[in-house]
Amino acid sequence: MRIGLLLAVSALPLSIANAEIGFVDDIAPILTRKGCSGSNCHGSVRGKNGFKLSLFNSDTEEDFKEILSNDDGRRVNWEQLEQSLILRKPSFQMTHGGGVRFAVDSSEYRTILEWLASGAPYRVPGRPELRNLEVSPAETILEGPETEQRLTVMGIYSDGSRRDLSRTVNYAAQEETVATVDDSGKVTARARGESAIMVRMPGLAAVARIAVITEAPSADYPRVPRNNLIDELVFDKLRKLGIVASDLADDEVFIRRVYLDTIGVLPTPEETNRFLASRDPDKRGKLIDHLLDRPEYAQLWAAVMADLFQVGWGTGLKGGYQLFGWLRGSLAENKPYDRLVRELLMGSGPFVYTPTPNFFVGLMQGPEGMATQFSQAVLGVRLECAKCHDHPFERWSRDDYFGLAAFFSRLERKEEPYGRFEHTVAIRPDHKPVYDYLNNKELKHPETGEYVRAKFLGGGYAEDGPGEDPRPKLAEWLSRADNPYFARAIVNRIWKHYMGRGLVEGVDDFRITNPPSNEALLGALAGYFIEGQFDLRHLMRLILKSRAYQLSAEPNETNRDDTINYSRFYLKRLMSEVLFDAMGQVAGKRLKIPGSPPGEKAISVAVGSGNYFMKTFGKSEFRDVICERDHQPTVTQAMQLISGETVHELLTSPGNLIDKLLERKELSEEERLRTIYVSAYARPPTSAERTTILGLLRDADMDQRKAVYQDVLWAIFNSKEFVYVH
Amino acid sequence: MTRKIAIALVILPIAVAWAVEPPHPDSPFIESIFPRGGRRGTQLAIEITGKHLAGASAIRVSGQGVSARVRESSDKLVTAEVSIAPDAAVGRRDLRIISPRGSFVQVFEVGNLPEELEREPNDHWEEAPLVRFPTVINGKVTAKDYDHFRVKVRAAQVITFDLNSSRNGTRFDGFLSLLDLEGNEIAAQDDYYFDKDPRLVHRFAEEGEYVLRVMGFREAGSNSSDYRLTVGDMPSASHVFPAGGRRGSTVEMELTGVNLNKVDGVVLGQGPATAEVVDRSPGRARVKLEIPPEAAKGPHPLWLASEAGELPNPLVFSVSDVREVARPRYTGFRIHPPVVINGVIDRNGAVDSFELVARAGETYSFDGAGMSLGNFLDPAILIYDSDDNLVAYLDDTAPNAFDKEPPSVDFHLTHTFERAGSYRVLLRDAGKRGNPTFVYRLTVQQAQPDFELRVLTNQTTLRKGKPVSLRVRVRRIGGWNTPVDVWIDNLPQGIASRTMTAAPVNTRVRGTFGEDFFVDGSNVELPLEALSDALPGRWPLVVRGRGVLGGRVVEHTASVDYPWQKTGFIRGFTHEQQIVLTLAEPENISNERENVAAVASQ
Repeated sequence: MRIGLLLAVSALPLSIANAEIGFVDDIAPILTRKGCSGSNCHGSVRGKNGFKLSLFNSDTEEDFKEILSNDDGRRVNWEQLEQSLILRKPSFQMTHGGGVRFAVDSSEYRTILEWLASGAPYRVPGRPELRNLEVSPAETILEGPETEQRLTVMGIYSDGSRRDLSRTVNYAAQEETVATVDDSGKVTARARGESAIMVRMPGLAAVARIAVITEAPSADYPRVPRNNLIDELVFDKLRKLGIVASDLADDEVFIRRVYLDTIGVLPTPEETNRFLASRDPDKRGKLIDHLLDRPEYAQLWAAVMADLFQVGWGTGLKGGYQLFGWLRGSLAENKPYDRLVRELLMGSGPFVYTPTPNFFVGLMQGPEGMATQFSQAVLGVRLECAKCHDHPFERWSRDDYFGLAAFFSRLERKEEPYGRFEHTVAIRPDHKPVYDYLNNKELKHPETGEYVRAKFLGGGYAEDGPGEDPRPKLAEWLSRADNPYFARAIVNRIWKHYMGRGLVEGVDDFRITNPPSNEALLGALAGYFIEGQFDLRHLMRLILKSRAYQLSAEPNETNRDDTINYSRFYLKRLMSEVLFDAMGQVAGKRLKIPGSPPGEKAISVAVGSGNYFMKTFGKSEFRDVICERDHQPTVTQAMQLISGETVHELLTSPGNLIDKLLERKELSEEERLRTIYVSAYARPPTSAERTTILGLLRDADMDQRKAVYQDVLWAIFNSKEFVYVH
Repeated sequence: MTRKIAIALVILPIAVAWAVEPPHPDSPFIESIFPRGGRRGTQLAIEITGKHLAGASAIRVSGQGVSARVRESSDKLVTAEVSIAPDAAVGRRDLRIISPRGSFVQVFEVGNLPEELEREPNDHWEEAPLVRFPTVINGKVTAKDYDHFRVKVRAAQVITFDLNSSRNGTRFDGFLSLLDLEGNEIAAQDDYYFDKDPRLVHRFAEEGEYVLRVMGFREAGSNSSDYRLTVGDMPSASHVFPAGGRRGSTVEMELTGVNLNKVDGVVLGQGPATAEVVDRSPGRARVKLEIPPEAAKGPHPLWLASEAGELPNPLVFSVSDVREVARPRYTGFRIHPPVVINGVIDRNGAVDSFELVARAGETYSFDGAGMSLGNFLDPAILIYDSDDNLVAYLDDTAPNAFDKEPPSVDFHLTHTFERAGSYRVLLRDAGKRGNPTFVYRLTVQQAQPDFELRVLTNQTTLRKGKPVSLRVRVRRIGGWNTPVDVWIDNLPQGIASRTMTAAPVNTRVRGTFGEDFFVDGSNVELPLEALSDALPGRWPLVVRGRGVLGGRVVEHTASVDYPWQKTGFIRGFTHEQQIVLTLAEPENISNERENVAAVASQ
């Protein structure tokens, strides 16, 4: 075959045989750019028609073999190169399900032909490796449909050199209704909105953010007060987009919102009335400071973090209670977040009697399970894909995955040394370099077969001595400057809790091709958090005191369609425990939760769904996966509110708020009604509400009046105004 | 033909068919005793609930000074009167109920403090009755039940609330919460002890009344969930260091805990060791203890004493007959065996290191005790040679034994040093944890191959035609590696058994999913059969074992353990150290068939 190649090559004009073309740098990008290795074609899980490429050519070695060697090398005709399938099919000289990918006289065709003619090298010797891509402009605002912007993509190589790859990379638009992009990198605006243009080379990706506005910000764009850096960065962007932020939420809306968001309870009528009556210009700021110091703050955030750290999953009920209590205590003392995670990471001992080893949920699947858990929960990165293959368009490789797993390779999960269901995390000494004790095998790289070395995600290797537990190095790395994930991940989660949407959505899906909606803001918040020594309350205070947080949820003409730039407050459904407790608070009756003592709040339930109501509204029974709660409304939720047992019990329990209000003969119906409304909504009834309800109460006997108030409470529980933070 | 040969000829072919026999299903079984203890110098009425208790004729309480008399018995309930002499030793006793169907042991506690019974209604904190302390409250928590008790305290007073239930043989998993008078929780404690009993120690910042709530974890509870709740500001220690000493020596120990400024001394076991308080403060007390030369080797309860006498919840103090060393930390300490090293793994990451010089071929045994001293240290030992190669590592002697065995994370390592030289011995927690309560004892001596015998039950019931077996554990130590013969020494008339041999292989047990667990030793099942001439009765049994190693004949008498998970989760040696065999009357099975549907054949 090779003799035939030589003869074939020697017969070709010298201009075709080009020794400067390599598969990695020249051919694979063609396959990527032309969509050959896309997920709907040869890059799909099973490939197409027997030809399988790695997704977006992320695994160039396998693709090289597939083209040249696999299937007896039938894709290349060394005798007559132009008869090779690799040329004939994509140029549609024979039947090809993918149609024409490039023409016979195209540069792509010629490049492939020249490459084959030169012996089809994998790499050109001595050529530097492509390490990174830079897109410019990184952010663009296009004014009006059909306006255009051309992108420039520079490749940065291992020797520091840069090369224009604008014509080589693959372009894809995230939202084609907003903007499209062609093969040359020309972006065309289509409709108002925001999108991202992804730029790919095999194994690399970059993103440019595009915003399309219909008209430039007018000269009359209103000046709004800016309370802190959040407002600077949010409103700057809004101005560029020509979006005007909603007005500030009024005090009634604000107090309810900030109470629920910060401490998970409604303000009492007394608290509300006092706040509304206050003329202190800084009353909102002072209220925020007060709430962050309330004990309920720790309770709420323990429940939030319990989902993140999968409290109770795989470690038993008792272990779950231990960790939950520990989280609550840590949050109450305002333990810096880096220290909190460090303590979790360094936990060991029996689950039942010690809180922190209950962090090691993933250890049920060995060190690899911990790599998945740690990367997702702590670093905000979904690394799971890289377990089996280098990530197709993110930077993560199997080296990264197994390198992270290696940090947990000295841990052993002892089964029940203290008794039934009482597992323990122990630390083994070094008798193998790196060992997966769960699966009783050495932890070796699946491709190289070598022992894996502990490696920081996206960074270098950790110095690791024999017998040492490498976790302290990972713990120390959390707050290091070369760790770009830790602070951003938790900042994004906290931001989402208060603002209703993460700067990165999903909150555990940080990747190049999922850029933040406001990179400057995310970076600034992360920097603020780090400078604040990872103080959670310090960060929350900044968010709560921003104007952006305190905006009304009412849209205006300019921001009605904005769902990502925080030009208004985004509605959020109450967390199930908060909803349950809020209903009990308003009804004046705390319902008993199975397994918990009477009077215990739902937010205090460490493990388990508590009851059917809470389960229906999203509280996990087992926390077997790290995922955000689904707050999409369902029919079952609606039925629970309409006719469920919980609502019925609250409305009819003897001694509830209704009974107590009716017992107080000195109160007028108006006062009773106001108490209920202020309890539930932090506002009095509107005149229409008052007129309607008072009308029903007029001339009603005691039973009828009770029934009216029960109906009022029922209607409140079924209202969006109650069920949502607005 | 001798009787033994005749018996053997009868038994041999039958023995093959014998499998492990569970206790007879209608043998007496005690679920609860209420109250489960009393103050010395008092008489009290108790209720024993369980199964198959009808016909109970006697109750025997181990040790001196406590007697009990059955008043009435039915299948599920026995009422009895208990008398506790004024000089009865405090502590836990075995209470054995005896009937023609067999016997069963549960435990009963003798204390020094005033006692009272829980008074219902107390389900709500607003109903909590006021209790005056110190006191021991005997109560029960059924499912979804809550017991509340109110205490009145002074500012800065430190009160201990100690719930003893699982330690006393129940399966109750108690939970304590301290509430203010509005029902808000101030403090809570779930599992302080291995057996999940809670202990809440609280320093009250402000004077006033507070409520203690007792409940089951996740509202679990039953009629068998009896408890003894000790409440008071008496001295209470979390640990002692050193946790042992050589008999015939004087040990200066340091107690750590609360209210130790009130401690008058300590009492070792049943006495009469002499103790002198050297100094004391609320958080610490130093005591000199003279250990009598005749004190038995092994663990003893160490009682704190105050003006009230011995206080509940003793610590564990271990007596040896070799040289002992006690230091808080060790770095390169040269070991000269035999020696017991007392230390503390007092903080996370702490590792104590020692140096041992061994000759080629020498075998040493290393026993690490942490859990058996009552703390949560999970000791692990590592041995490195002079080239820094790890030559030995042991965490648990019988890991992953699931719930087949009483749990233990202490280790017993027997290691032969192939090369002469200096070796580095490290002791740390398996999880590299550390805590001032992580007191340990490391016994290092030249390996003396030996074996221990333990009978894993304290009673068995036999009926004619239904043979049973007695499970005996042969635990090999110090490198013992030859078979051990085990037999029952004092068989009564008409009862047959035979000698069984324990091979030097740890018994393997299959788990629920087919996985293998290995116990620390070999189990043998000693068969017991009632012959035709056997008459109903009750007898103590003595089990013995013999082995030969290197020409040396070793014989031991078996100790008696509580049957695991039968006396709740109580483990270790019984107080009574007696196995009782009951030969019960045959069952009456009626052969009358009534109301049998006839199926007509066509």
